[in-house]
Formats: sequence, C-alpha cells, structure tokens
Amino acid sequence: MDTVLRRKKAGAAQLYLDPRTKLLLCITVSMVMFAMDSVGIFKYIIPFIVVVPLIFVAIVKSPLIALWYGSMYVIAMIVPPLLVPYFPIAINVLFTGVIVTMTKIIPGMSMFIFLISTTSVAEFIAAMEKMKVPKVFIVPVSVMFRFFPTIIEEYGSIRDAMSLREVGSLRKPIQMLEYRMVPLLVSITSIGNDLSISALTRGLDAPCKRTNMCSIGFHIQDYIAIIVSVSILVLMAVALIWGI
Amino acid sequence: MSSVAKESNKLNGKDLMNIGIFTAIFLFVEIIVACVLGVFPMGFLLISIAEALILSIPMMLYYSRIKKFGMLLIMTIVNGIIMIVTGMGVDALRIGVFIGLLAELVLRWGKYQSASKSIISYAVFSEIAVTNYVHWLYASEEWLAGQTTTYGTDFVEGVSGSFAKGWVFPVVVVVTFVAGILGGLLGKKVLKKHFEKGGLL
Repeated sequence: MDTVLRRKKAGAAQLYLDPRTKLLLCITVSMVMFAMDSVGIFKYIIPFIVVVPLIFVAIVKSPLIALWYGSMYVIAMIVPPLLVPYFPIAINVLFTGVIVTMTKIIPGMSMFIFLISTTSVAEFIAAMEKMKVPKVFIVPVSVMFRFFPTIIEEYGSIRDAMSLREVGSLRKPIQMLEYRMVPLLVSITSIGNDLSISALTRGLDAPCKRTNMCSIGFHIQDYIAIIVSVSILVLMAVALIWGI
Repeated sequence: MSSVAKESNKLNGKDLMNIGIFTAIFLFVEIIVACVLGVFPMGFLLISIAEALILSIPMMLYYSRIKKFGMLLIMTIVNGIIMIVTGMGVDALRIGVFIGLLAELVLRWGKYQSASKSIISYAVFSEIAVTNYVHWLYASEEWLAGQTTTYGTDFVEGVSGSFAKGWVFPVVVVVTFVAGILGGLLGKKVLKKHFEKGGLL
C-alpha cells in the first residue's frame, strides 16, 4: 500500500534534504507569499519562490504535476484582471478575488507536496524528536499521515459500493452524507483500533526514550537551503519594518 | 488516590491514536469540501457552513471518545500547523488555539458527558474553518492595494471595495455557529441510529 510519506529514505536522486530543512523551506515560502507584495526587492524574490518549489516537484514527483501547478498559477495571474470589468462587484469578490488568492497558495502547496513526497515516516518522527516536539504531537501527526491513504482507499470502495446500489445520489444530499460517512467511519474506527493495539504492543506507550534507526543530519545542501531561506526571512523582516 | 486520578487524566497512547485518526478525517473532509465548493462563485463563503454540517458525524463520534482535557486542543494545533505549512496563513493557528480552548472548556463544563454541552462545543469548534477567511477578508484589502502595479486600478477597486464590507464576516461566523448546532443535532441522531445500535460506541 502506498503511504503519503515515502517508505524509504530519499536518495540523491530525490534531492536529499533534512526534514527540518524542508519544514523551514515550507514555512519560508508560505510566510513570504502571505506577508509580502511584489514591490521593491521582492519583485525579484517572489518569482524565485514560485519557481523553485515547482522545480523541486518536477524532479521529485513528476513534471506533469509541476506543469499543472505552474499553469494554474499563470492562469490565476492572467485571467482575473481580464474578467473583472465584466462582472458585478459581488462576483468579483467571491470568484475572481478568490482566484487571485490562489496565486498565494499554489507555491506553498507545491512545497508541501515536495515535503511529504520525499520524507519517510521514520525520518519525520526522527526530525520531530530532534526538534524536541512533545510526544502528544508526534503520535497524532504520524498517525494522521499514516491514515490519509487509508481514508482515500476506503472512501473509494464505499463510493463504488454505494453507486452500485444506487444509494444516495447528489439529489439527496443528507442520504448521501449518511450512507457514505457512516460506513467510512465504521471501517476507519475498526482499522484504528487494530492499529492502536499493534502500536501499543510495539511500545508506543512506554515512558522511556524511543530510539530511531533513521539517521538524519545536515549536509552541505541543507546549509545552502537554510542560508537562502533565512536570508529571505531576514529581508522580509527588514522590508516589513523599514520598507525597501 | 490522588496519584491515580492524575494518572487517568493524562493522555495515553490510545487517546493520541484517536486524535491522529480523527484529525486525518477532519483534514480529509476539509480539503474535499474546499476543493468542491471553492471553484464555484460564492461557494467560497459556504465552505465553513458545509464543513460544519458534514463534519458533524465524525466529530460527534470523536466527542463520544473524549474523556480527557486536551484532545480537541491538540487537534486544533495540528490543524493550524498543517495550514501554515500548506500556505494558508497563520490565522488558523493563532485564532484556532483560542477556539479549541473555548470548545474544550465548554466540554469540560459538561464534564465530558453532557450531550447538549457537546453540541455547543461542536458549534464553537466548527468556527475553526472560519479562521481561514480572516486573512482573505481583511488583509487581502491591503494586499490588493499593493497590487495596483500588476493588475491595474480597475481590478483593485472592483475587488477591494467589497472585501471591505464589514458585515460579511460576522454573518459567516453566526451562520457557521448555527450550522454547527444543527450539525451537532444531526450527528447525535446519526450516532444513535447507527453506532449505538451497532454496538460501536
């Protein structure tokens, strides 16, 4: 079964970076996209921040996804200004305005795809333990990543079963909700019970410190990425306080 | 005696697993709803309301398992961190923590057993989805004002003029709360119909 996070450690072909570096890159991208306008020096930095995650996604995942995100970005840049004069204000706010805001989300999304498609569960846990994240967060987050593919798989089978029996079409939304959500919850709950018993057997609840097979650490490429993102963050702080 | 009580109040492995499972369901539904409704004009503002109704069934099941302090709070914090990392801004964490705490306190007020308190708590909790609008409704105005060079003045006037309408946001908050209460009632009913009879609770 596929997991959202990778099973194995990312090799050189997958652009090996420490998970902490990837997290920093994600946060940098989303912070800059949200807080900054493309004025002053950020006129040059923002295109850089848009393009780099797409290149990462193209290398790691597939060029098609990168192309899809890239073209969505370009459409969201170009189309709204052409549409605005022809619509009343209400539609402009709720439709074209939203498309414009897409331009801010797409880079962060593609960076997140890069994060989850190059990090294995064990690496992620190791990184969180190194960052001194308390256990009450580590366990839910790793269980959550473990469960996304399960939910998608189960939901697909339930949807097929329900459409075979012609239960709950779009015309009866309440029925659709009930007859899809309840079976999904029942199966997820029983899978969850099995999983928690197996995790408890393997000593998840033990009060002592966990050991981890996965060695993570910073390499030269991590330092380059950290220097770039920290300098962008510093530039952002400077620009927010004094303005460049 | 006191040490036993203290021990039972701490979250154990099973609780943490439950948090993980239900956070995964929560985010899954959130993303599906946002993707489906977000593409329609006007659908954007309905996201939080639809989420409050759809999430009611899993959340009511989750509420039936909450017996200790902190389970909702951890869920909102994890949700907030995921929102930051995926680029939805910091509001989901900054405001979400207070919403989670408030929902937790309402639930504690009912001693984690009262049905009506858990419905109110769910209605408070469903405001989490609204936090994603905070940036879009208010800060976008400033951002759009800075976009004059890229998009031209026509566009900025068309959009920012209406983002500034003050009544939109409170209406969304109130309607989401009402939808949360309705959803809570629906969730309780479905829970009674399917889960209690099936012996899954």
